[in-house]
Amino acid sequence: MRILYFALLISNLVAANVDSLFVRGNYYFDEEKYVQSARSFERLLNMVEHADLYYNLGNAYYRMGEVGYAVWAYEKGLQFEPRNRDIKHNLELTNTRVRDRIDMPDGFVLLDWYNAFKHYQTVNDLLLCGSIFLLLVGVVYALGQFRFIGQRKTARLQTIFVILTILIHGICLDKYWDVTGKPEGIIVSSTVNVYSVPAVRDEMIVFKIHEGLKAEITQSQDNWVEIILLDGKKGWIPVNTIRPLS
Amino acid sequence: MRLLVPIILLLHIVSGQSVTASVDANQLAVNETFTFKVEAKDADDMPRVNLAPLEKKFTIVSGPAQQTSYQWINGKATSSKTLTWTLVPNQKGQLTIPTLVVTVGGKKLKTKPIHMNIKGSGQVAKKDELFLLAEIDQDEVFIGEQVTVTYKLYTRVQMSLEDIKYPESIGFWTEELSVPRPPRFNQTTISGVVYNVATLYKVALFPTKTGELELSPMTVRCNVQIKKKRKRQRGVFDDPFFNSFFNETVQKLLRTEARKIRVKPYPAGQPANFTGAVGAFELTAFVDTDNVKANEAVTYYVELQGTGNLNMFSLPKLNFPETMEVFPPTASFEQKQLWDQFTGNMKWEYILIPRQAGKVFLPRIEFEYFNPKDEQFHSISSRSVELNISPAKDQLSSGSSGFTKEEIALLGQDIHYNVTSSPSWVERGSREIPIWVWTSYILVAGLFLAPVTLTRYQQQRIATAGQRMSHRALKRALKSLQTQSSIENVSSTIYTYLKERWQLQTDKMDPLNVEQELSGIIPPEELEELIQLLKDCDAGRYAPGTMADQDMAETAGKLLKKVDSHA
Repeated sequence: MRILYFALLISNLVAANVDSLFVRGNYYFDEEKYVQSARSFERLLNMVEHADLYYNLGNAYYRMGEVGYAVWAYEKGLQFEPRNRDIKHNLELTNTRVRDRIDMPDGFVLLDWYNAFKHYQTVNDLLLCGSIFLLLVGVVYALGQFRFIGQRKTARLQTIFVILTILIHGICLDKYWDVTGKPEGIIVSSTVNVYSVPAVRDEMIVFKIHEGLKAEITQSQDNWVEIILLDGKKGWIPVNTIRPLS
Repeated sequence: MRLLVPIILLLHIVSGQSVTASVDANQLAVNETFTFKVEAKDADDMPRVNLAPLEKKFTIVSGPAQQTSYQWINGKATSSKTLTWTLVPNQKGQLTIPTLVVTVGGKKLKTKPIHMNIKGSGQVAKKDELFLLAEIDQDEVFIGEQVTVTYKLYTRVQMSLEDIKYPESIGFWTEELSVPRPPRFNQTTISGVVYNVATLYKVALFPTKTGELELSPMTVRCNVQIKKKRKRQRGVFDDPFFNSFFNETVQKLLRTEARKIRVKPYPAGQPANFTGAVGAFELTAFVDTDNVKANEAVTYYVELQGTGNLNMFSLPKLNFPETMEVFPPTASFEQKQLWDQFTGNMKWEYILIPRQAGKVFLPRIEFEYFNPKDEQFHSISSRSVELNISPAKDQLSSGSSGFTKEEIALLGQDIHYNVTSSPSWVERGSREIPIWVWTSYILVAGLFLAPVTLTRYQQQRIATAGQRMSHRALKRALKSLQTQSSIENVSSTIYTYLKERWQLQTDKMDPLNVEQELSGIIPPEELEELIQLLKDCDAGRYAPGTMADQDMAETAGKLLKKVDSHA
């Protein structure tokens, strides 16, 4: 009991500090001191996370003209709240200033729908949804056992809910693998040369990318990471030119 | 006065060659020029002279001029080569032209030093005739405020300008103001004496730092015509008409005196976006056309008119809408001639290319300047300009920007504002599964287990109920036998007991049935006895009086007690 109280006290202290930092960041933002504002929010990020925090940080970077960092912050925010309209709006607006555009060919419609559905959920959302279906399975079973509903009806309902439960948990697992399995990053340097080997050699430049572009990180070596773009282009860039989203 | 006193110092003759240094005068004033000659006799090449030791105390005005001469004296030919400089002393007092090294044909020869007596420059008589004056309109100014310096030449003698050395003042931004070229002389009277005055040079100086700044002097070299004093006083040539034939031209160097200007810093209250403009200005901004099509260039003019340190400051940064492409401006400056105050018109031309149709406002320009007259900062601003941009004819070109329709709709917008209230923070790195999920999982487990446990419990309860009944079966049976010892009762009591004690489910009870059910539970002897008893009871029922009821009841009680112990 005493330990619990102590822990509560410490968390309160941290919370107070955190709130004041957040307020300070917003104050600097209003004063148009965007660099200080972003610094406050970044310091806050070492302690806590929240979609709103990433959102404000993104706004500060946007005002500074740091398109890459702004995109990074908004993408991070969307990981927490994929259906947050403000973040989505600001990310779309910032993306108009990203120089690299990769147009993906239209894929299979159902797959697109599935991906879109998956995109707008967090792991926890899906988990909650799945657990509710599982609960329904249990309720139907119990009701059937106590003969509140007929045997045939029980069987039918149970089948539906079991299928839904397995489906949702499957999607949840898929999403979880998406989140943990594929490390992605946002390019934050204004112009980055992509090399075919992890070394600076002019003749090895494969292509050029600019800030704000999202890329998948496939492997890393010393101070270099190998990235693969959405359209399949691959190459090595210095590690400090990309900020990972995980 | 102007007696030419050539001092010729003969040097020792070395192998026929000799070098001589001479001046045309050794008594003169600071600003007067004199001629310095180095003559080498019997030299084949021009002598080379190192004048470095001279340059501290004297300034070389012109030279060297080269001259070669041959002479025959008494049938002997001599040749000489002469170098001539025009010098001016830099200071007054006893000066010495030091020994100079002269190289003639590979040989190094030395000249003898020459002593000179230089008087101060304040020779009133001379200044009265010809002098140079720098007029300053004010000697205490703010940074960036204009100081007008006018260099005027006053003369009463015939003269011609030879060369003007313009001053280069440090710590000032200099803008030349126009003066008539060549200088035009006007007549003016100073304390009853009529002078010819010409403005030689006029500059607007804008100090760039605070403190005492010094104006460097201006030097003018001119030729003055002086009447020759002639021995012959009378004659036809005394007529003024012939004067010019007998005048002598003398070169003179005129110099202004050094002046100091005190530069003050700005008073307090300098606005943040003050870029250093001092004076009085007007700002206008306009576009060349109101009817603009997307992707076609528009020129946006910003004009700053006024008096002050134009050229010395920049415009504040302009924020154009993001839907426009802006090219760096070209700046031009037009100075208004014939104004003493530096006045003009600065013009910046921005080329804008709107990329999107619609209404666009070019923001107004705020400009801060300091007015030294009222010693206050002023703010002026241009009006904002409204542009109606009609859609481009060529849709392809607008599509080439790479934006989708949705993105183009976004272009004119701004980001949404921050979240201001503190959210409920999540500790970094703790991605916990929400409590609802756990709760529902636990609930599900509960729901699955509930029916099973409930049935178990019920079954158990049913089972214990039977056991309790079987425990009490013997007691009840004995009690029943004691109260009523009729044969019917004995038979039914035994059946009830067996039913309760062994929890037999069958409804039909007869000796055969009992034997089937209880074989294996009760030892065979006892079972046989029990069956016999039941058979006897049945017999007794159909043939009354064959057996005493009392005995029957006693036998049944004993047998039941025996059977019960096996349970």
